[in-house]
Amino acid sequence: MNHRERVLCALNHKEPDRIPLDLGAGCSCKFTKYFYVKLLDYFGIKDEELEMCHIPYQLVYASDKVLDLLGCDVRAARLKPIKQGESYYAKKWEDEKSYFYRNDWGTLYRMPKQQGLYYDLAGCALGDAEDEEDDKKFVWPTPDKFAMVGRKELENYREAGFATTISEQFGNGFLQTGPLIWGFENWLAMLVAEPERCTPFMEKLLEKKMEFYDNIFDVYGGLIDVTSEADDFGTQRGTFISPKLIRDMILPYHKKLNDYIKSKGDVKITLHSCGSVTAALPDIIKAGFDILNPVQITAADMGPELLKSRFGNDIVFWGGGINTQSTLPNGTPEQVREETKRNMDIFGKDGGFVFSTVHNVQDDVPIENFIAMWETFQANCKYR
Amino acid sequence: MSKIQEISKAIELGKKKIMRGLVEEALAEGFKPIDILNQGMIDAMGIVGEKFKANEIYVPEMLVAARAMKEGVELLKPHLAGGQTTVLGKFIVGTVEGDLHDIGKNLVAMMVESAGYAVIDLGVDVSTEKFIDAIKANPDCNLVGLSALLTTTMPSLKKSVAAIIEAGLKDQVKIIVGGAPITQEFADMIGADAFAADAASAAVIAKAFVA
Repeated sequence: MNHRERVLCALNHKEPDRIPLDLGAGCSCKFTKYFYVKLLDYFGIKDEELEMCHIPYQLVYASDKVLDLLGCDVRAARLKPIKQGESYYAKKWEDEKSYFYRNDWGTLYRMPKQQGLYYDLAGCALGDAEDEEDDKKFVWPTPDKFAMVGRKELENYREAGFATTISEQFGNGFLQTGPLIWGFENWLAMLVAEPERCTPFMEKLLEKKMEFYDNIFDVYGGLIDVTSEADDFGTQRGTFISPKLIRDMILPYHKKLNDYIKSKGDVKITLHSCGSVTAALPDIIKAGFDILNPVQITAADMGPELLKSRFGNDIVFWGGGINTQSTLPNGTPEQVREETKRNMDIFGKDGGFVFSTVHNVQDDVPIENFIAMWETFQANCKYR
Repeated sequence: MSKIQEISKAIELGKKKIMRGLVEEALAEGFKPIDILNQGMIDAMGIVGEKFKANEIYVPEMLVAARAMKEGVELLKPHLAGGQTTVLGKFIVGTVEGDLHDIGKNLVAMMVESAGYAVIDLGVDVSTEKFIDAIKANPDCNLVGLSALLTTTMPSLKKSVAAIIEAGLKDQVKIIVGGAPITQEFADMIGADAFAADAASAAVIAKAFVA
């Protein structure tokens, strides 16, 4: 069984020879820059140039060498964007204390120069908008096209027997793109008080996302196993907005997009959605998502037993291998081993599981803990 | 339904646009401004908080309720003695040094304000010194809130709490902490007075401190 057969088998809810592994490739399964340097050091790899894949979170594309050493079954396309026209908002600058950049959506990000590990939201294009007239001032970005040279990379991965994924999206999801433009509080208040301002935006976002996937499939058609949309529905204690609002207002757009993506290729679609999303999971499944990531097992009602027993037949868990909010950064290696083994036993049964950490591996994770997790995976990943 | 009950209902439902009319009518009917504030508004936000904790409503409904209340309080202010709209004390709140996240912190500030506190929001990436200077500069401050979203800034939270205690300010203020990776256990370990899992709980705890 090669890597791809293993992953596809698990995605089809059957047990392969062993649990598939994704460390470093898929959506939110990657490494932050400084952690990756620790990993290179651990493996004694010198002179590797870091290739950034996500600026705000400071994530890198792990090299094939590292992914091979880890035994990762998945490879992500490194998208090579070709800009379609000038971006109205994009700009980069710095002052004494911070680095700044504004993206194509007009969202301003800031990272402190001292001890700065991430870029965070610092402003948005329509933060002061009060009505539909103001909303019209937003200048939409155009989805990039992609360089044809990228196709060769995925062809090589397919030939070498790897499962392939596109882990990038156009903007954020239908719930979480609005906050990048109006600000978090404004957008959420608009959803319940002025839904007539939200709907046209989400309609347009759907159109643009379809165009994004047109561009993706133009280059990578026939070579993609898994795509990912990201839309954080959850907080630590439940959903941000009511499950009913998610069902009635947000997921219909995802459903249309998922149908469109599946009309273009035989792919499985991931929903990356942080926090406690259990209350929305039945509707997420109905909207045509095949895979849930990052499976935040420590959020309310997100325990592995509950998720696996209630939803294990209907959705694949890609993540959930180890809690990244406490055990992985702050636990002992022994606690890491114990939790990894427990989660693998529960999620792994009957397939439907790709092992990864709950979200990207962050800078404060001790290398001993990461290796304890990885060794535990290797020692227990075989199905009997 | 009395005018005060109408105001209360309007806040619960986040009807910001009808607040002006309702408050003016209530005043014209002879209701005391302080009763409109306490019974019409602060109590309504208490109900909103309860409903939020019980998952009957979610962040958007809580937000529009707080915005409606803010509108109402502004209208009421000129009619209250000395423009005094706060009854419980003063709350200084901020996200700790190195951490730039403020969604949860803003919700907490909003709900604690709605419970009857004056709020000084120090923003994000707040140094230990800035917390301490603000507490010292505001002798009427009786509650401090510190927030951290990142596992990488939990040490910064611990450091700031330790420094507030070290500076001998615990006679003046209670300390409440929160943020996604924060737990009751962590709050106890670093010597905070309370951990709030969400904005509504923070408001309940803030009220309980002065009860």
